[in-house]
Amino acid sequence: MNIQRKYSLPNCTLLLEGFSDVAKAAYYQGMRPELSILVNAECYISGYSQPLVGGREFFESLVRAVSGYAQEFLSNVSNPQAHNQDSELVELQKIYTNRHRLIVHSEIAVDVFQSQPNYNQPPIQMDLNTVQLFDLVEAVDQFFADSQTLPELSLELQPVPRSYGSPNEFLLKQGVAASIGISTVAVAAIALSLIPAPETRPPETQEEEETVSIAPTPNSAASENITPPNIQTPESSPATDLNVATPIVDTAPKIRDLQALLNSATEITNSSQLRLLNEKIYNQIDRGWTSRSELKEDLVYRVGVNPDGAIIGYKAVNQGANEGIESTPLPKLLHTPANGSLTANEPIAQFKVVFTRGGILQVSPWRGYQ
Amino acid sequence: MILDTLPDPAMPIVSFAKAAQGCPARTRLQVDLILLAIEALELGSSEAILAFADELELKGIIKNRVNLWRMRSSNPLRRAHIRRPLTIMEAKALVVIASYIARRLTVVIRQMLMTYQQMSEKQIPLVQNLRLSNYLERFRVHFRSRMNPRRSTVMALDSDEKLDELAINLLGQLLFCTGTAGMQRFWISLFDGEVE
Repeated sequence: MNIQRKYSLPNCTLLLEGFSDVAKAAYYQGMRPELSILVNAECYISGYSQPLVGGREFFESLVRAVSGYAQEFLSNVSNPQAHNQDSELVELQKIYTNRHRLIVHSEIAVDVFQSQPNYNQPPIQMDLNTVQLFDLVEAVDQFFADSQTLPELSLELQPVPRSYGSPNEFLLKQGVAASIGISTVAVAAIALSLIPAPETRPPETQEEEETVSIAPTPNSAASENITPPNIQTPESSPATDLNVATPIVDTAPKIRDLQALLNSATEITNSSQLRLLNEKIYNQIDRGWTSRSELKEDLVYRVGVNPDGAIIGYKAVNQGANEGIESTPLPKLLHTPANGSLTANEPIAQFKVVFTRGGILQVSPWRGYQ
Repeated sequence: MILDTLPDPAMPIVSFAKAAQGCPARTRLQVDLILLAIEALELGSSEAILAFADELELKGIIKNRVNLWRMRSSNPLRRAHIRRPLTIMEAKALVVIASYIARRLTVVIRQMLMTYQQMSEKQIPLVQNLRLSNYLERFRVHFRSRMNPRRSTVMALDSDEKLDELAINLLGQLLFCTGTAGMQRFWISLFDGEVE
């Protein structure tokens, strides 16, 4: 027997279709039959004509993500349940105070041999305001409260363990400029120490380097002023073949800065936090990487990331990575802290980011998961 | 008893020392702020808090006005911050009352959030809506008169815009408190990042 259940709120309607387990149904005679096998789930959001549709896997993922995100909304502490892109079909992200993005990934299994997984099938995105989000949460909670519909799924609330969030900053996180405003002594330190070395701002720098390469002799004096005193070895020989000289000048300060950064800050080694950040930066870089066909070889970078998932430093690992930096979105994604907004010393996570020749992005923790 | 609907959070392992301190600082702060938002939303809500304590048979925990004030002064940002613990029971009682008042104000809260959404989309100044601007203004006045301006968190909220943002955020949280499982959700969220 086909059973329908509908949880209807002004901005959101949840429609479940299924049937009851025959053996069990006899038990509950006279009562509302139990919907125990879910066939189809639809979620209608006001303002969007197409509902989100899926089977049991989609629905379970939806209620988990919504439940986790509701908690994140209340506490401002990042909830791992809401952003589990690796294993969940549904995730929710905060855009800003009053805007929340619901993302549903395609249910079709990714073909391993396909060169660009998920690239042809972009996930469905819906932006909700706070009232719409609340209606979605409420529809899910009414479903949880309904003991005659998938009774094995029930509301389970757990506080997020300490390692996930930095609760002390929660008031600031509520501000508009949350992502801009929150930066750290460590970030500031790197930003300041980078000022003398022009290489930290890749777009402008690149131009400067090019000037050098065109007219080496007259500009060598200028470059002496710009470069920090400790890297005098390369530029002391202006007559050197510049194809060689440029990369060396480029590399040295970046190593030092990332190293300085790591000296002044603790490193994030918690594997669950690394997984979250891994996903965040993968998304950022993957979205920003537009020119995928340009690469002649794999480019490998070591990337420093703050706990919010912002890229705060990077360093080329292989030779080609130095020259190819402009083909990657890294310079654009580099997070420069807003002036004067320093908070406590923030830990840093390190990742290995590889842009492969075939147009595939690989991101993994620098030291692996522990 | 109504408080049984809220589970005890699994507090850190060093629970003997912690038990004496009661709830974590963030919990104390957040509970006080949500009550502050209710006060800004409706005149006379401090009376309502006591009335609800009576109605919900929580008088054993929230005995009187002074008692309530002392509980709220456990918020570390208060000017009149008192180094007293806020017990789990007291926090539960305040959360239950806040949720009940929020439920009664559901329609108003929803409307105000919708108005806020529409006005900010069209970039109309919020002062043009009487209800919204009254709420925001009262919230700012309450916040500034009661919170210690020397605390860095308060210092960071130095402009009207930032306080408005906080007030709107709290309004959203109040809306969530009105839901079927809102009270439980709000309660558990108070311990996010505080358990091992």
